[in-house]
Amino acid sequence: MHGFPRTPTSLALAAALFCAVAPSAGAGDFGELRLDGYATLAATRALTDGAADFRAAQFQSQGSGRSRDWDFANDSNLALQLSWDTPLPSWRAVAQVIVASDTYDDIKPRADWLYAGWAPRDDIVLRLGRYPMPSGMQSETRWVGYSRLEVRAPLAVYFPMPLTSLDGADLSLTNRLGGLMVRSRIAYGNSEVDLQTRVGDSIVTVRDLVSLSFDVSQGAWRGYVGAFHADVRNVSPGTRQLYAALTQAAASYPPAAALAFNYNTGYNSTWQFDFGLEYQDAPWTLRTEAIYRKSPTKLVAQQFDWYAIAGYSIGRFTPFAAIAQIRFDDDYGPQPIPASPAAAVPALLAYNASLNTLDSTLLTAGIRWDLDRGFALKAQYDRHSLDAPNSRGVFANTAANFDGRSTPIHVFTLALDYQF
Amino acid sequence: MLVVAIVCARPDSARGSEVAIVVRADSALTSLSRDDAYAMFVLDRRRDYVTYDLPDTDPAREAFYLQLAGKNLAMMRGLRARLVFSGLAKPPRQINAAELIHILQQDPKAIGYLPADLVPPGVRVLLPLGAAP
Repeated sequence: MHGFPRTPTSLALAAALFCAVAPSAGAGDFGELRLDGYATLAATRALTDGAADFRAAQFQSQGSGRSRDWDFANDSNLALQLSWDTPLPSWRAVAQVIVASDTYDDIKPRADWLYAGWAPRDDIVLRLGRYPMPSGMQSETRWVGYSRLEVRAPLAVYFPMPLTSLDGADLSLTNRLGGLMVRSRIAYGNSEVDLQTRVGDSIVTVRDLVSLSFDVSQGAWRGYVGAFHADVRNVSPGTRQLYAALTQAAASYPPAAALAFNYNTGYNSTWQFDFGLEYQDAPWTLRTEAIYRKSPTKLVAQQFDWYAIAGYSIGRFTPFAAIAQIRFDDDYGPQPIPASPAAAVPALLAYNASLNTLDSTLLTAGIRWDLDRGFALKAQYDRHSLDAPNSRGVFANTAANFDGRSTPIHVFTLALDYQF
Repeated sequence: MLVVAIVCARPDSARGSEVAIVVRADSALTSLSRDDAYAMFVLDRRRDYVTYDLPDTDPAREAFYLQLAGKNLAMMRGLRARLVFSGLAKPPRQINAAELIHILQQDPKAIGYLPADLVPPGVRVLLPLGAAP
């Protein structure tokens, strides 16, 4: 996972604006500072028979199940957000630092927000610097447990996105069209993330991401439609070796060339389309989201994922239930192993061994209890069914007998959310 | 003194009572639609005015947002978290009813909400919202 020191131009510009404004502001005209924060303390127990670890995000590498019985790290976090309305008219600076478990299973701080914002009018905001990856209707509050009924951002839609932020620029326009409030957002940025796995670290680089989204609300309804395109590269020592072996095998076994492309080390054009619909009118909360990701390689899986959740408040208690599915939309069946040429056999065996999916169905039940003084207590049960013989679901560190497991996996989580 | 006595008695009596958006009697704000009120209290579109919230332990607050936005405490907490942590809005400052009444009587730019039967002299009802369901 990226840490603090990513400093492309836009991020440097944001930092420069912080510095440029501060010295020019006297004690009396320093502007207005505001500190907000949120935190979650969560305990998770995944019953995997010691054969795999449950993860709350794709970049995490350990969790409850195999590495430890109870996990307190993957869903826990602490974040502080400092907002500064500067003395310069229309300029604002925001930094959000979140302390959470990273890809190396270490609790470390990272900056998901660090931008200078310019709002010449109420309905226009330009942000330069670092801001959350625009992927899904909850992308800006993905880590804010307090903002939703569930313990964690729905896995079906948010788990497949290992990036947490982009460095670039983002322009939001907010319009009232009759009774509709429409927030249109266009963003451009770049990012890079390390992912630790058992077979070595991979580096995912997102280049020239362009995103467009519309967030529409009216009364109890909120709708979201978004899409992004980016050139994405995902390279690890293991996939680099596999690509080399398949390319070499293609010299004597031409069908291996198409397989090699699945693990090419270049940038590949990737699309993602996001849809969301929410209805909130007390006591009912209903929400559904779906993503479709289009990718030409298996380094970024092409997939269709969705979930739906319903909650019903009774006083300060809100029980909820949800269903979700992750479906890879590509051929993940094993390739036939030719009798010859001999050089192609190990390459194709390695290719077949690489074909793992996240295909799974999740059933969730839980309850949120809103306490006084900004606290909320949640209990959640998730039942994961692996829906393909080579599926590992959202689990990591899998033992040999885990893939395609026929019996469901039960995950229990208790979480205490706080916001101030 | 009378105000203090009323406010001290408020928590139980406010439950189920009507809630109203209020300003100082001589405020230049003479009317407010529900959409405008939603924009001011929820979306942070306050124009030149300063909005105030009651604490979430006050039943009048839940009644207010149920009436204005159809959202209960948990929903409003979620919505506020989304607006604050996406940098879109800052929530109104939270003060108790006694402080609110004091500020309303001092500041013509202040705007808040109170149980309708607790609106003191010098404070004007701008938008009655009805009783909590």
